[in-house]
Amino acid sequence: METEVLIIGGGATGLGLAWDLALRGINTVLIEQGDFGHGTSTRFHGLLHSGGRYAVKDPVSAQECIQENMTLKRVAAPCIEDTGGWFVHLSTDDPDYPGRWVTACRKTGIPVQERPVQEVLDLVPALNPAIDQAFFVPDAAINGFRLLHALAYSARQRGARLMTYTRAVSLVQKGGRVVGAVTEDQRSGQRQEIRASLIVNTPGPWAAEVAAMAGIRVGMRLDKGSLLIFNHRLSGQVINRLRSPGDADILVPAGTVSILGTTSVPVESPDNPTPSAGELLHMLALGEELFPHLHDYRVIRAFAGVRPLYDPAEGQGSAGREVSRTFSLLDHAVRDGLEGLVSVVGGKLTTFRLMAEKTGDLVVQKLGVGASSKTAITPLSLPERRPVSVFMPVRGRGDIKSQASGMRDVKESNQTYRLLDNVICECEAVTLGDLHAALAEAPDGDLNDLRRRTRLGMGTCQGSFCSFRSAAALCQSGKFSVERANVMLQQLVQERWKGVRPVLWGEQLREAEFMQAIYKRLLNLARLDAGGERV
Amino acid sequence: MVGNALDQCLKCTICNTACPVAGVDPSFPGPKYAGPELGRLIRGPEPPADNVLDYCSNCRSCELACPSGVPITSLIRANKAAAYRHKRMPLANRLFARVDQLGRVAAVAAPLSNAVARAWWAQPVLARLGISTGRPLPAYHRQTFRAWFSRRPVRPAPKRIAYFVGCYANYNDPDVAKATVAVLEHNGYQVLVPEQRCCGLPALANGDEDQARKNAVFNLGQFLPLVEQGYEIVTACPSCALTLKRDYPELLDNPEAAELSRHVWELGEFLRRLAEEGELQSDFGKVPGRLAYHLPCHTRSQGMGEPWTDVLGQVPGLKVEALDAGCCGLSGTYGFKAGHYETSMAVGQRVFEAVNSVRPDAVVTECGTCAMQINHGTGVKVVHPAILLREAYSRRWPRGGEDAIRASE
Ligand SMILES: Cc1cc2nc3c(=O)[nH]c(=O)nc-3n(C[C@H](O)[C@H](O)[C@H](O)COP(=O)(O)OP(=O)(O)OC[C@H]3O[C@@H](n4cnc5c(N)ncnc54)[C@H](O)[C@@H]3O)c2cc1C
Ligand code: SF4
Ligand code: SF4
Repeated sequence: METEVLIIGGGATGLGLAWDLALRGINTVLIEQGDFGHGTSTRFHGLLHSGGRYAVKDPVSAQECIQENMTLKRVAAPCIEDTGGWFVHLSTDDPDYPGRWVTACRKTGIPVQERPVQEVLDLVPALNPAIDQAFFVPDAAINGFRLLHALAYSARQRGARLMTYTRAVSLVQKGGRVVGAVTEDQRSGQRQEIRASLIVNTPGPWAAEVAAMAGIRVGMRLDKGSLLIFNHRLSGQVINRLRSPGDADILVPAGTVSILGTTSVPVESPDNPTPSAGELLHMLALGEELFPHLHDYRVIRAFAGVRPLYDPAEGQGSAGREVSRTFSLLDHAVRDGLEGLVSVVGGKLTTFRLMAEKTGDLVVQKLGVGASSKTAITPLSLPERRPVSVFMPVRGRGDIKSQASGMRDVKESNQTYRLLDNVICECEAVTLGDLHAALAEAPDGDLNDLRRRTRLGMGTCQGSFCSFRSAAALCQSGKFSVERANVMLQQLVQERWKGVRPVLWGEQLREAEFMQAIYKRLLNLARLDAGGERV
Repeated sequence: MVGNALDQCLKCTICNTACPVAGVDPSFPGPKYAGPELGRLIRGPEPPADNVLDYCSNCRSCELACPSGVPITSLIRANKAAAYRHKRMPLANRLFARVDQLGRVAAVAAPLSNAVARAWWAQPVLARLGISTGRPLPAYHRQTFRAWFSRRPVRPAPKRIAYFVGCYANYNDPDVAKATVAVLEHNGYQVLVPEQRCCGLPALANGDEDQARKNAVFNLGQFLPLVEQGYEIVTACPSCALTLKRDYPELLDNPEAAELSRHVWELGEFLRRLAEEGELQSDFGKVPGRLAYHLPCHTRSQGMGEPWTDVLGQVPGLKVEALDAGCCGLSGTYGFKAGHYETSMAVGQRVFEAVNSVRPDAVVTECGTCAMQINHGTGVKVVHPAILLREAYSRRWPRGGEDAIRASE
């Protein structure tokens, strides 16, 4: 395979770049070792920063954030819930901070309005009433899954070739120049070489690993952050604790749930970050300072991500939250004397578009073409969801009834048909039709891929019901063999279990027992016929 | 409160298997979805735009079945109220939310209003209002119970009851209320009927929480001072009892409502307690008859067994067989709405079949709307147990039945 540009890594940065280059008309291939969102871009807090969090310590990041916040609300609207956000000050926290913070926000151009404390208390009754100041900022919630799919969909529409489950295993060099990459299909194990005029390395926390394939050192400071997911929206708006940034001081509403985070713990490897019990308890205790009854609310899951922080000083300088959140574009020709390779490191999800634009600028300069970035003015699109086409004729009176039950009656030339679009996952209102539509986007996807595209199994019961229902429905519709469906069922249940395991207390402990009763005892999951495959 | 209720649900789906509506209408995704799930979804960014909430008849069977104690029906109603904050409430809901006002108007115009409701030319109008034309509407009486009672001399007695009449007995079946008074007086109680409004359940069930709250505040203001003077509150309507006991504390969320709820008795429950304490007048005359008893959902969900079965069991000659066939399907104002008629009749089918196989002299049930539905579905006469008791007491005195007879003059 040959292309002008090969992008390694399908997170927000890589897919953002694919979208940017596709709009500039540049021939692009992107490879991603897992599904889109395998990395940090879905294992994050979901906050479209206003920049407020960085205003005091990291004004460059803050400025980038507010700029991109406004741009993305325009071009990525379907992926963003423009909730607005609050910075609330507890009377026990540093009394001088709000003053410094407001000044810093003014300087960086972040619009801040002080509002009566009662206003936020009315909106978010769960908050600690001992708040003495409240400021409104343009924070918002951004759906990482949806963003990645919008980027992938839009880039593909413009001709970009995107491949999931394809991992770069080595870089090919010729005459002091990187000319291609050897890739491995993660399912079949098949290898191939992709030749490119330029390779852009956007593997997030794996950046050092990929650069090492070209014999180059890139200093990364890997920093794990853990998050707790609450069963429902404790707040309709983002809540930030107004103090020098620390652990567990942000709550973000994400769809039907809310996410509290985060922590900051140095780690060695970007693979399989897991939250520790200690971190979670520490977060709950801190969170209670902001939400006094936090322990009464149900935690359904916990997860962790790894921040891809760039550390040019390679461990000689600062750590964790002290490292700047701005990004760096490493042109290895200039930096290391190796042509044909560029790395993008650091940054935030909020600034992915800006990172892509700047990288795109470098790419066109290197390729010697004169196209400028259009991502700031071109809205992203998402595929339209078509209803599933399982029709059943209806006798007698037919009428359009419930969208939630997924049963809709459709009249067509004198005959009424009932559209069987049943709810598969009640917690997140995912219908069979949604599953089929997602499957059309990822034809060789497994149930976890469909989950990322539909929110299947992401609600209260964490897949207790929808896992077997979806496996059965897809098997019944002839899309999967029984063995394949069994394997996918095992994978999905395992994956859900992974996030439930760290939070086995209260209601979720009962849920877990229930889940085990269904899958271990009723369905004997471990022994389902998987056609020889082992999970 | 609602927040924590959302967190209790295990998604076990047991409630769905208990829901009479979901059992007959596959378009209704069931209580689990309409209650705890929709509660989360409507707080989210993309609240589903559907009308599943209108399917719930508010029978509370799901709550009884839930092993996790989720107040499912309350959640459904809260979801309904939240939904109507954003869209216009259907006309029929608004009408039925105000059954007492409806009653006042209809009673003044009775029997004309009854004739109108039955007239062929009124049917399209009813249909436009969203009211089912498939079943007869309850008849209204020109003299409401409360008007009758206010003209009656006070009968002093040492023990006191504040009687919560309820709209149905007041407007549509005053004889039930008269029998209630007779039975209580015969047991040595002075009955007081304070100023009162509809308990508010129809408003709640139709998604009009504000109206329900207004009624609750009014009734609380009337009844709580009496409780403080030592009165107990009795009602012969299981739905009113349930509302005063369960919904007022939830709606008003104050200690006064909680205090009130501790003194509310459904009539059968009250009489059974008297019987247990050996204080129920047992001078029953013989009432020969084979009756079939239908347990209303709203009695069942008060978690107090079947008090009327226990009380009626004391009446000599009376054979009472339990139908044990679940929900009748009418559920207050639910089955009167267009589009619910078929569902309501389908739900009631099991009850109708049970009645038809028992072939009783009459059906007995303490709920006025269950009575209408069973009569509509089977043609069999349905009586309120208070009327039977009054009858039993009066038969002890062949010459006039003294108190009992006088009470119902
Ligand atoms: C706990 C936490 C909370 C955060 N919260 C926020 C927030 O609220 N707001 C915000 O703006 N930012 C937040 N961030 C930061 C933000 O998530 C990241 O900066 C951003 O997602 C990085 O995107 P990326 O595309 O660079 O990396 P990634 O999303 O990690 O993408 C890199 C991709 O490359 C793939 N890859 C790696 N190696 C290979 C290979 N050899 N071959 C092929 N593919 C490969 C990986 O599988 C991965 O999918 C948070 C980060 C963390 C850890
Ligand atoms: S409401 Fe109760 S019965 Fe229904 S699914 Fe939830 S826990 Fe089970
Ligand atoms: S209250 Fe009755 S009709 Fe409504 S959901 Fe519960 S069981 Fe079904």
